Amino acid sequence: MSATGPFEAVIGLECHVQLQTRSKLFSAASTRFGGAPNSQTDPYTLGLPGTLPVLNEQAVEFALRLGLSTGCRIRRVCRFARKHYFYPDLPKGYQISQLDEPLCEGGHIEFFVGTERRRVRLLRIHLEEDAGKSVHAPTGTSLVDLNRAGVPLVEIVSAPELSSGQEASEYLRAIRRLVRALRISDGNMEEGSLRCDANVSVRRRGETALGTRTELKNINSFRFVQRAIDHEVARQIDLLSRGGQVVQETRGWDAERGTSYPQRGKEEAHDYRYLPEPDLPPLHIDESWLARVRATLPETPMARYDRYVELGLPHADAQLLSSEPELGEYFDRTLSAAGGARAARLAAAWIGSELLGALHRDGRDLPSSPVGPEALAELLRLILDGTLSGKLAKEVFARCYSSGERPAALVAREGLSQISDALAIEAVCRRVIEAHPQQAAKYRAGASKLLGFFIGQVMRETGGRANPERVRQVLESLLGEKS
Amino acid sequence: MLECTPMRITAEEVRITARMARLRLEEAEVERMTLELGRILDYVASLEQVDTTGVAPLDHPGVLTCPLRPDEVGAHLPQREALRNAPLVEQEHFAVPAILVGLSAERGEG
Repeated sequence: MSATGPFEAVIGLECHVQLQTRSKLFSAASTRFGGAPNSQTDPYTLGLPGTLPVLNEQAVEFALRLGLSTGCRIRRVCRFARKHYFYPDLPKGYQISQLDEPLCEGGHIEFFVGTERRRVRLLRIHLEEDAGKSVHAPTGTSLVDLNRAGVPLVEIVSAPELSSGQEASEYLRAIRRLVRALRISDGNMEEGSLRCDANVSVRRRGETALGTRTELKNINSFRFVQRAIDHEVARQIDLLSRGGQVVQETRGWDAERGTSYPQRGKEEAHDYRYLPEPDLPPLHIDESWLARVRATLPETPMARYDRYVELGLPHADAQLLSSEPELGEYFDRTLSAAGGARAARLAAAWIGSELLGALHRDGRDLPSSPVGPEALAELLRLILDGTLSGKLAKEVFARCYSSGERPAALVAREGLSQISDALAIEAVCRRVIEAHPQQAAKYRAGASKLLGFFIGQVMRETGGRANPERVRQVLESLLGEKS
Repeated sequence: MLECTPMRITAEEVRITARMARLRLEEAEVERMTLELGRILDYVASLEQVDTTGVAPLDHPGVLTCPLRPDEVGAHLPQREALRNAPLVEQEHFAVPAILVGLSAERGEG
């Protein structure tokens, strides 16, 4: 029985992603985050009379990357439109966006909910400019910073095909991973480079018509997306169960109280008075441009995931290593230096546990890891050829991590290699048995648990360097032959 | 001078349009605007007499495709200059009367 009982939720997300261009969508002011307020403006950003927009080529290219890697149809001719509304952080009194003929249509986003693979269709991806930022001062005034005004955004509109807060949050994470892998945005929700509105409605299971929807705004963290949507779904179900009706409205999410509140009803719904942007002619995307973008398209996280599963990695490892481009690149480099596919599972396990564990403990990121992919590959080769046991390898890793020394050099210098030589092990085992005649007699009389004692003694004698499996075999045969 | 066809635009539509444009109109002004806007619409409506079957819409005379610029940062206005026309400046910001009571600090407006 699902938590929503006889009802099901229908959710669509509108995501705004800031593109990491150097300059704004229609002017040359900087897009840098965190500058002094109102220090990154120019006459166009301020909406001063006589200024005209000139489109940033890189922003279009970033949007094309996203459109191509999500399987969208790319319009060869697309148009810009003016969307009018009054707000102090919108100096021109309109936002340049796209309406009827957006750059990208169709396509889909794939992601996992648990181990289940989901695919949600996209309605469209279009380009638009961001508004400025307003904060409310305790003095009762609102303070406007126009540094953000004009920063390029793509708006990604999903079909209403998500069915829970969890799915919505996984979808949003997939978008974040994707835009980072494509290197078109940092996808940072805290800094507002990824923002999300949700359209939420519920209906009785089996019904095909959509219920009345509400639009949730301000849900700007992964944690809140899930909570805000689940809260809204529960609110609507509660309303309908008691014979009430959902009112079409925009609701804001209050993260502190964990609840939503009505912001504006349908009767006040904006009439944006869209009109074709007279200052920008239609944008033509020619085949050679598309071919160029396609040829340099980075691997998507899902393609990377599939590649790793084919290499034999478990779901969780493949998912982890495809979650961040740096992680996947580190893995790929390790693998090619370690001799390819046969090292795949071992490499994934080492990166996932020892390496990320150590980096996390020290608050370091992957690029600043003291153990680079080549060094890790060296260590993996020493494990694969039997030179190091798992236990010794961990010790070598820890020492290389703190000193920056290469594993092969350390192992050679300190003679740390595992003793696999049968004769050498046998000599130590004989010595140990001769030194403990009483225990040997007891073992031969049936106290087979004492084998562990002998293994321990041998390991101590060899400083932990003997291959424990070989030691066990040799001890068993030596202790067995004299009985 | 074109004759004004009655009801090209209603007084109510003028009121709605004025509200959306944040214009406060007196009743007499609504009356005058209804008449004058009606005349403008009538004038534009004369285009409807032309048969445009099979003629593609012309967005922009002359310019065929959208000019593009390379992604390079140019000159900024000094902050002092940027804020020069602000009715009120507080903490390096444009200060305006509080926006939407009850709305949290930032909108997700797209």
